[in-house]
Amino acid sequence: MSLIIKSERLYCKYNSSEVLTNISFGVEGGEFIGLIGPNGSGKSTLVKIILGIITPSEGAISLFGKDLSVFSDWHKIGYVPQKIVSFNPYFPASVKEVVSLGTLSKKKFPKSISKADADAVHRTMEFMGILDIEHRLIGELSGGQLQKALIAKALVSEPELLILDEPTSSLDPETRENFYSILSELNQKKGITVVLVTHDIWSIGKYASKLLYIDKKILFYDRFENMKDFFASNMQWRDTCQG
Amino acid sequence: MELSDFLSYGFIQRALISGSFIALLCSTLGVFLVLKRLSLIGDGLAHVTFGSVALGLLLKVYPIYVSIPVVMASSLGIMRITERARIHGDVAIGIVSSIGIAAGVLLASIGGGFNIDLFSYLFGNILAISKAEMFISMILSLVVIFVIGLFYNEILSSVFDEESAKATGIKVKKINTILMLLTAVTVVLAMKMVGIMLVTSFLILPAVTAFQVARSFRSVMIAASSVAVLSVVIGILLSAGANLPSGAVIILTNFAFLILAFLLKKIRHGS
Repeated sequence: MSLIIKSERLYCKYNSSEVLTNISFGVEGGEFIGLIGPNGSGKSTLVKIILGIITPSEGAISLFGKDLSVFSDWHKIGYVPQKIVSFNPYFPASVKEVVSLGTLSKKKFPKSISKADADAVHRTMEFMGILDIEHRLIGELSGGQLQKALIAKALVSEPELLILDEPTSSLDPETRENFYSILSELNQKKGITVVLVTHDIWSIGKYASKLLYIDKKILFYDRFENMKDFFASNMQWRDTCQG
Repeated sequence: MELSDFLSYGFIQRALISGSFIALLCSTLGVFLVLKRLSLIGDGLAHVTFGSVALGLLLKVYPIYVSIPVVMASSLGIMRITERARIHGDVAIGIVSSIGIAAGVLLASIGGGFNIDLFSYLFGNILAISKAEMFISMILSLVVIFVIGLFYNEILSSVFDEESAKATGIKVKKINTILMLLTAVTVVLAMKMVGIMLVTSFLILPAVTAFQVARSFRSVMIAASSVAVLSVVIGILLSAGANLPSGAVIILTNFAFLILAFLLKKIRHGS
């Protein structure tokens, strides 16, 4: 199967400290990757490099077989950022307007929203079960509703790859399980490749096809079942990965 | 004197037309600037305008010709300082603003004699707008609003969440540059006509008023523009009738709208 993400010898430095060292891995179409590691391990940095938000010091990323420097099919990628740090919670936009912004990745200049886009927004909100709150302000939603809205925004362009950066950090356990079920359904029924950054290793283990465990470098990249063997021989990592 | 008498005066007509266009323009830009936490940029760039007008007067060059490039460069400087030095927008505005005003004071001292011209650029007068300035305000407003319309969704996406916008292929840096340059041109030209006090208030008050009551971003834009234009119309007519300073009455009218919007929000939320 072709690689959707290919990372080759990636290094990243902030000032003089190394954040990522020699990161090489590949993600195949249809996989569900749990990207885990302790605080400050470089998970979010890796995601930002994959999305072209940060430029690495060395190394290369290719997406869908194209080097990141020439990649332009951004509609193939849906991104759900860390909610707490990403935007102003009092932003005066309705849920429908926020979800509509997800259609822009498909557009050339001028990026206007057409009737077909409006239909896609309606369908996606219906799929995510948030049609009843489409006119609510984004800042008035509960944690679970907000995550659904942000996923709908990421899904509206019908991406082949969905990248989520610690989306469950502010959710209660029940909402979190519900959220993982949605991701699992998207992965298995719609065939969307999922990369989920999380601290929640024990919950994600039953959904993810593979875990990518990093702490500045790759410590483990394999199936969840094989993680026990890894921990048996690397006890020092066991506690840190629980965040 | 009756309302129709006031409206028959050319200077009142020009003040109403120009003031409404400038209010519409500044309030539209202001919605994005306030959300980007750059609400004091009008004040900061006005200080840079002061410095650049002083430079123009010293060099005996028409001040606007000096101000537009200098203020545009300063607005990009604010953006760069925020991005590169990782400091907040208000600090970057403070740095550029204090350099601008210091340069203005220094140049005014060196040049001497042109202080009256300098202050006419800084404080403007909405009731002294010429026909040419009225047409400039109309053209400027239409051009800026047209550009904002072209990039509306990209600006909205960038202001909502820069990171996500970048991940959808939006050139956030380009969008921020466009927004800053439009703001710079607006501040320089609008300041000459209506003064620093009105420009700064048009960039902040209508947006904040709209945030209290609007239920979508589109309605924020409509409410902010409406409040700004209504404040100009009511403010000018009230000030003309009561023989009060028009700029101050316009701002206080806008503030009254803000209080009303705040009360409306409280009533709506039942507290």
